[in-house]
Amino acid sequence: MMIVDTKVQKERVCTLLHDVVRYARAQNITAEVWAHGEQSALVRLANSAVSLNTREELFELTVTACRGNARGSATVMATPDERERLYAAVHQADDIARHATPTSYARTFLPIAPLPDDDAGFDPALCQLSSQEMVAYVETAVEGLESAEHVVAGMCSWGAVWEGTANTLSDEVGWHALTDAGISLVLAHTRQRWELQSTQSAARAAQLHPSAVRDELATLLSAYQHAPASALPLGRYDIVFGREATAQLLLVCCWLGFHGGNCRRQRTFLKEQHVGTQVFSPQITVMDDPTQRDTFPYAFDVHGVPRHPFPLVTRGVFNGFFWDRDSADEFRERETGHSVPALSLTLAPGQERIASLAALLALPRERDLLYVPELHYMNVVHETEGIVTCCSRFGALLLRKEGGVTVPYNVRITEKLGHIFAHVAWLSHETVTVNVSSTYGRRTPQACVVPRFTCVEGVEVTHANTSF
Amino acid sequence: MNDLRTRIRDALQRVCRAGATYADARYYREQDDEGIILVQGNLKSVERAVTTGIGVRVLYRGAWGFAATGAPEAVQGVAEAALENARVAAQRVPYPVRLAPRTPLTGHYESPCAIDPFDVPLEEKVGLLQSVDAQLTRPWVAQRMLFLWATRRRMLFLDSDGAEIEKVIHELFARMVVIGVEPNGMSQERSYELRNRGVGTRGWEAFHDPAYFTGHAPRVVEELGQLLAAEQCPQDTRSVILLPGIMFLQTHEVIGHALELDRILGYELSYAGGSFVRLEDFGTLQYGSEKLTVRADATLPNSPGSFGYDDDGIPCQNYVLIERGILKNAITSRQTIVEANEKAGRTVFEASGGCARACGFNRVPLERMTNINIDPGTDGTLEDIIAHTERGIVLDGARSWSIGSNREQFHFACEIGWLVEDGVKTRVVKNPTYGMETLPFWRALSAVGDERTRELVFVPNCGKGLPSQIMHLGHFVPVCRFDNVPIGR
Ligand SMILES: [Zn+2]
Repeated sequence: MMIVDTKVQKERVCTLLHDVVRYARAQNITAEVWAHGEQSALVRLANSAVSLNTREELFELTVTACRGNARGSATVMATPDERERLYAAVHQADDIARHATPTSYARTFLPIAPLPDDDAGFDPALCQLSSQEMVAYVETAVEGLESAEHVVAGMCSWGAVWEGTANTLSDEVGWHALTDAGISLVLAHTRQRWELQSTQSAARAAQLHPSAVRDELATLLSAYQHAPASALPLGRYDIVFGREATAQLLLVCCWLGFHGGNCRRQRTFLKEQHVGTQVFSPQITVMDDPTQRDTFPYAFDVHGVPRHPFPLVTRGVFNGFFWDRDSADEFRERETGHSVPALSLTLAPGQERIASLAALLALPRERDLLYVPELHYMNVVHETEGIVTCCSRFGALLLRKEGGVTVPYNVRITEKLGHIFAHVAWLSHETVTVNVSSTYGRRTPQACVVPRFTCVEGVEVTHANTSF
Repeated sequence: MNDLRTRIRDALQRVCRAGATYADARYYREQDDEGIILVQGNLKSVERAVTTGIGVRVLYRGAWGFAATGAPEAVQGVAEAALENARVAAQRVPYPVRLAPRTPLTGHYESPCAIDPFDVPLEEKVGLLQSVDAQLTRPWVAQRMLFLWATRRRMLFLDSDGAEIEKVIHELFARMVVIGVEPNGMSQERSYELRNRGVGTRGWEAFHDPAYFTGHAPRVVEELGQLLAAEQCPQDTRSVILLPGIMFLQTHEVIGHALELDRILGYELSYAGGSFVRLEDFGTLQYGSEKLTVRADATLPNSPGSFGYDDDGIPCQNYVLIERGILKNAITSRQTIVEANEKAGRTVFEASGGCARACGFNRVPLERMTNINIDPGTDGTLEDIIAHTERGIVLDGARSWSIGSNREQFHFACEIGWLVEDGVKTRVVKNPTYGMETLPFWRALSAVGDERTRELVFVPNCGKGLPSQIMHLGHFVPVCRFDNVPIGR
């Protein structure tokens, strides 16, 4: 398959963006342009088989034409060399803008300032990784764990994106390229219907460590093979959220808490009056930190606005909302570089020196702890109250205060996000990267950096299954 | 086009000569998408996209390989890449994939459309949204949002057995949302989406009948006003009467997804989840009460769940999934029925249900819902059902849905509820929720409305698979009542 040298790709994409901008100017069309190219590969596993092995290569150009406060966007999928088809998008966008109704608010359109190349996150070795090598990774990660009874499922997704931004107000082009991998391997019991999972995120091939996945799966498997299983009584539990669950909670908190546009649309539990006040536990510090390389960051947003570390919550105090350009325009706020396909969220670590699942299991404890590694099917029951509901999945454990471990059947958790982040008992001292990329639509790598474990007191379990 | 067709054919034959037992290609000659968003009367965005590309799927020694590109002329390279991927996959295939036999078909399907939305001037589309927006503008409405999407896909399916199917699919979706704020700062929301009764055509003309969309604006706004003054839904156990605006999702999540055969066989285990349904359950499991008959009907003319032929080249069908409460069939494809029958040790599934669909050229076909419908019952109208309910709640509008990983239990939050006491709808309650285990819930189905209560609700956003896919489908469902359901939790 084609492996593209990023220098060649940069030349191709940046030349195209310059050409499109020149073409638009020659037609007296005011526009901004976003280019997206990707190479994506995915190995999917089910019932111990590779059930799918895919690879795709795509390139798209989006042109947004501006006529006063009216906008029109056109996206075309083509190769970067198909100039006529790509130029047609300029006319189509302008035609939409010509017939569109202007907004009642003023819309920002600014020249792009010079931007440094944003391609330090591109690793040729990860880009060129073959599916053969990925299958070998899987073999190592499940070695000795897989059997007729314990089958392997999961996915290994890896690839590269090449993106660029430009507009007709300047000659600058912003260039962004990176590679990413997200691994999720599952051991599933064929009869008892439980599933154990371990995940890994990588920005470079050298960060792929199948042995870490194997160790985690082995610890969970041992617990599941030896511990008795039972239904949990309903009520409030001290829950230790695993890294995947913590990242899921952080992401939903971002849209339901920190998003300025959502706040003004009455869709957040944090409000203007919360800015500058203690909203969460003093142990909680959240940043959108594009200097964190493992989060697959953007150094600039789609409009070419440079991005910088943006503190959202510091020791429990809410610093303020983030604003994408359109929301900022509509609500007369200042944009914060957040017109971006993916944020770089980090939750600062705490003091608890628990660096592995085995260490968590060995932790002396005064009360029962429910370990929930991952949350399944989270949804928002009430936006302004910040209530979410979800289920435990993939290897939950009940760590008994007297020292034993039992396996709980899956439970439903329904709780306010405000409660969860306000009642943090402890965070582990070690952080890990969690790949939260969605594989819907365009390749959009995203990861959060979070403590390996987050313990929250008094979380409500509202339903408990009576079997696996 | 004919040249490319020949080259696609050649590419498929070539990979078969190189050892593949089957190959198919889906060439998207053109996919047009248009999305329009009007917020607070402001035209936030108008986005058009034109997508072209080809995806090739190759079966080699019982393993699938797939490759896709946005440059269809590169079909030969894509087919070779798919074969190479299949060769790698074949190193780890304990159970080789086989496809159920079928006659390769040549066919053409175009979804019925009188006025192509892409031929309608933008001003007219925006004007329609603005006219609805004007009706939504009331003092108690804090936020108004209107969404309109249209898609048109021109696709060609070719396979190495000689099948050749051309499809042109038109789809149109619209949604209105209003949000209001209670005195305590909490929000309430009411919404409505374009729907119909399964007949007619799928183009811009859908908006000519106000009953399908535009005529609902005054009611939606009125109900938001009632919600802002309403009391909290009580914690209770009651009969729940589900209107089509929530009944469609109830059907979708814990019948539709639970009956996808790939899920039942464990192919979604690591992501979307499994199913509590086992192969031995077909023919015997009492899924619901006797009042429950469910079918997968991809033959309704006017629905995104009807598409002529699936992406295995199988013609669309209308068949029963659950008959008078008993589980009979599943959502199936050529691949999964062979494996399921072998694993069950008997013929559970006679033939593919024609449910293999991919959301785009760059994704592989999976078991996807078509129109998963509930047959109308004999319990009359909504008013009749209410009149025969002692302590109940009428529910509408999907606000939140969360389902256990084997679809064994669920929790739904609705936009609005109306309490029912002694056969009379009394007052509106806010923040209604309900949840239960799947089988006890369907077995508690105690009333099914007649044909007059049925509405076909479109689903534009059903997610599944890896790489993930968003699918369009429909549910033609009546008003239904379920007894002894916990609410308000
Ligand atoms: Zn769905």
